[in-house]
Amino acid sequence: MTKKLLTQIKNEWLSNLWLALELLVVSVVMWYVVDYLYTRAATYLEPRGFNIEHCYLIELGELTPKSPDYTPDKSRDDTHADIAELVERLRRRPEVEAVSLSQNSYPYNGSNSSGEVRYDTLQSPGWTIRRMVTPDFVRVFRYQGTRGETPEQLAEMLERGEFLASDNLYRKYDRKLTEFVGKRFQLFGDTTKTYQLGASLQNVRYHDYDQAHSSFCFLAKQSFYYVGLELCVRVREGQDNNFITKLKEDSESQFRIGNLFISEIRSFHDIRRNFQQAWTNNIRNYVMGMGFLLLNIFLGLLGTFWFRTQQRRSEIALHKAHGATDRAIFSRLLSEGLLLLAVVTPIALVVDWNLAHMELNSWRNDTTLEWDRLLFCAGISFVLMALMIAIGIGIPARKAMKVQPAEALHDE
Amino acid sequence: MIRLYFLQAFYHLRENPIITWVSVLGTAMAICMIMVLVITFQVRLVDCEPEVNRSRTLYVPYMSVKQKGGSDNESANSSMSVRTGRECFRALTTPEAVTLASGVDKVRASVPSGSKATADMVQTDESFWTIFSFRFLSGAAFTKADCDAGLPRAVLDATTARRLFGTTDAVGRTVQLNYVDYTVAGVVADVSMLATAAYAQIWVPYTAAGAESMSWQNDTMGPMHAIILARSSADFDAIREETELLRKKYNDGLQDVEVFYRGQPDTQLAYLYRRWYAEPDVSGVMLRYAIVIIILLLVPAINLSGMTLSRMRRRMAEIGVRKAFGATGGELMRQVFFENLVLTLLAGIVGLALSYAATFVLNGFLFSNSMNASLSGETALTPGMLLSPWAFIAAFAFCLLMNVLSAGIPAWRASRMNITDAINQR
Repeated sequence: MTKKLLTQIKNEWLSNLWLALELLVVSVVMWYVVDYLYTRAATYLEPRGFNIEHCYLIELGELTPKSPDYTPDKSRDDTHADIAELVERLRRRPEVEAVSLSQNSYPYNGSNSSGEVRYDTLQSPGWTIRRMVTPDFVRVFRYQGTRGETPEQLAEMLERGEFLASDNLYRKYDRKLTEFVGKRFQLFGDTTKTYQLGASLQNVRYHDYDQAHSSFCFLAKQSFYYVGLELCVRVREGQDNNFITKLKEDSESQFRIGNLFISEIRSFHDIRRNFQQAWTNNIRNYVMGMGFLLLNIFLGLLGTFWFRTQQRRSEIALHKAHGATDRAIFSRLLSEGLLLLAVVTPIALVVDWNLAHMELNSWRNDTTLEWDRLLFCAGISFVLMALMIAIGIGIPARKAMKVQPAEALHDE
Repeated sequence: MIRLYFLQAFYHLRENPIITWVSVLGTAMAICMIMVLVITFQVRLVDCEPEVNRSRTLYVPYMSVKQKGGSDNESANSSMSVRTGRECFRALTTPEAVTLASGVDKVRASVPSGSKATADMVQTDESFWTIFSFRFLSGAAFTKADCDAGLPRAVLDATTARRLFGTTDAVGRTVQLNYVDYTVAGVVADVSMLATAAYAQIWVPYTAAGAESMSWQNDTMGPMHAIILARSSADFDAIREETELLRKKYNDGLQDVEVFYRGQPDTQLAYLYRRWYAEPDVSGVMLRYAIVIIILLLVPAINLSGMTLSRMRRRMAEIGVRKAFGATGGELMRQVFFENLVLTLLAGIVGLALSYAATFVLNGFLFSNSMNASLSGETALTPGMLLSPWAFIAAFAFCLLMNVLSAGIPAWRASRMNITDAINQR
């Protein structure tokens, strides 16, 4: 059977060469696309270390002297008190669970500050994000400790002046931060003062397409309030319908304090979508490209095998006259296509490996070449292409099945 | 002769409907994908209202500040202050006009004891209105005198005017922006967010709003960026030289720090691909485009080529007879090319139509990006953006290329065929 199939493939080597060439090119590009999508999906599905469900960002504005409502002679301390009052009023709303102020800290935030966490000779990486927050920040975004500390417990630690940091901070020394809990560290590059590590945090990712193992951060308490701080709110579960509209309605009457006003309220779903638009767009482009390639394989095989079944009409009829079942005819045509794919796959794998070796594909776990990932993605693209081949050949093959031997062999 | 080829081509297309459909569909899809790429690209690149001068405009969206003599990597990066903008860019003499415009900010707009709205606001100056060409529905732009005196004047777009006043005829009325009173000077037609540099919903003079007081890094950084209109693109080098002179002069006046621009002023193309302050890798972007287009062309071309070869094989006898009667290789080659071109052009027209349909239907899907996702405007498309001759020339060129790729080998084989072999169908 296989031998006959190979002979047949050899007999039509020219048009098969075209098919094989197409399958080879598509195999490689498909692998590249699947690899990209796989790495993005795998990263996306990692635990985030925070939760933005029911969370909102409230942007504050400050009147300028040009406004008729402006109150002159407000000192920094007055503003601090006004903000504290505004936070307190928000907290008293029945639907609000927690309110926090922070500096370059909320998730999906383009701005960052960085800082150093030093213990003896151990140093945190250069891009460790410094999050200056009020204690309730960890309750708003539901941060978790590695030893099962709840957001409430973490908030108490911040209140006491202890700091929190992600567990991966000393990854390069192959040590987990959990073993340092309770020790005293130097922060902000200040050597005169030490801070106690309250708890080690489950890694907090920078965004959905950044891996947990490469997102480093630490949190310390922000005590002084000014207008540039971020105001984040968590609303109780099931109570955030129309939260934005209701708060906007009350903003004039209840939240115009001193020179402060609420300028904009955004849900973190929107913030996340906006922030990650570039990644979403890329994924969209790759998926479109993948669809295009698959459709092309389908069309190519449909066209070629349409010709073939027409040309081989009498041959198929003869085959049938000698007792071949419809199934046999169908599977024979199908095997021809799949065998072609099987022949080009090893060559495609060599090309894939080389591309990965040259670091031209996607990065994940600090590398482009992982054997299991390479084989898995090549496997997925193989299956997808096999599926397209089956559909592409299936249509003419079904037609071939219906050949009437007597009619087709009439001339012979 | 051409007519004969044409008839023959159509005959073959009709004879084999499935193959014809498969080929047309494959080619149309490829042309459609490529043209969507081309259209989304040109919408942001060619001159169209209100950015009618893109081809002779330079942009300075970002700047960097470092310690005098320090490394470029140890810098603060942001947009510029009004002072930097004035001394380093407004002072330029080579260009036709220079404007400073702030980044887009959300503003609370309201009518005293009336409706209120959140809108996208830009603070700018009078030159903004000469560099970009807005369609005024009523009133006019604020003038140099308004800007110099810092008068609270505002230009609104039609949507915002309707939301606040219920009409676009709002000149002279008062609008409160973040609780400060402004007089409406004019109302313009809505601006698409695809006009990245011109887009906003409310424009006010920066002298009247807070841009000047917002600055940091020794008053070098702030919310502004500069847009420079050259008399022609030939002046770009001269403008860059003068910019460099002004920069040095400005730095001499600064005590500890110096400003630098990382390759700016940018042309429209570089401006599109500058991500944050980093120098844009325009050639890398172009290389990626090229690879994508090659794959989009190559895969269907291999497909078509295989099918054309199969078709040629069925017509071997015909080719043999024609050769026996004296047709030359060149003639046969031309015939195959031409027949195939009929098919490709047909598919090209379908593909181009599909790509226009796709840009309209999938507008949000294609044009939303990180820059405009948080803004409240629309990525509206106008005929002026889409129907540029460049799009048609590109579509035709890609069809021709596709034809050469897909018919080249079959045509070559047809021309080289041995007469006796061909007639005997060997």
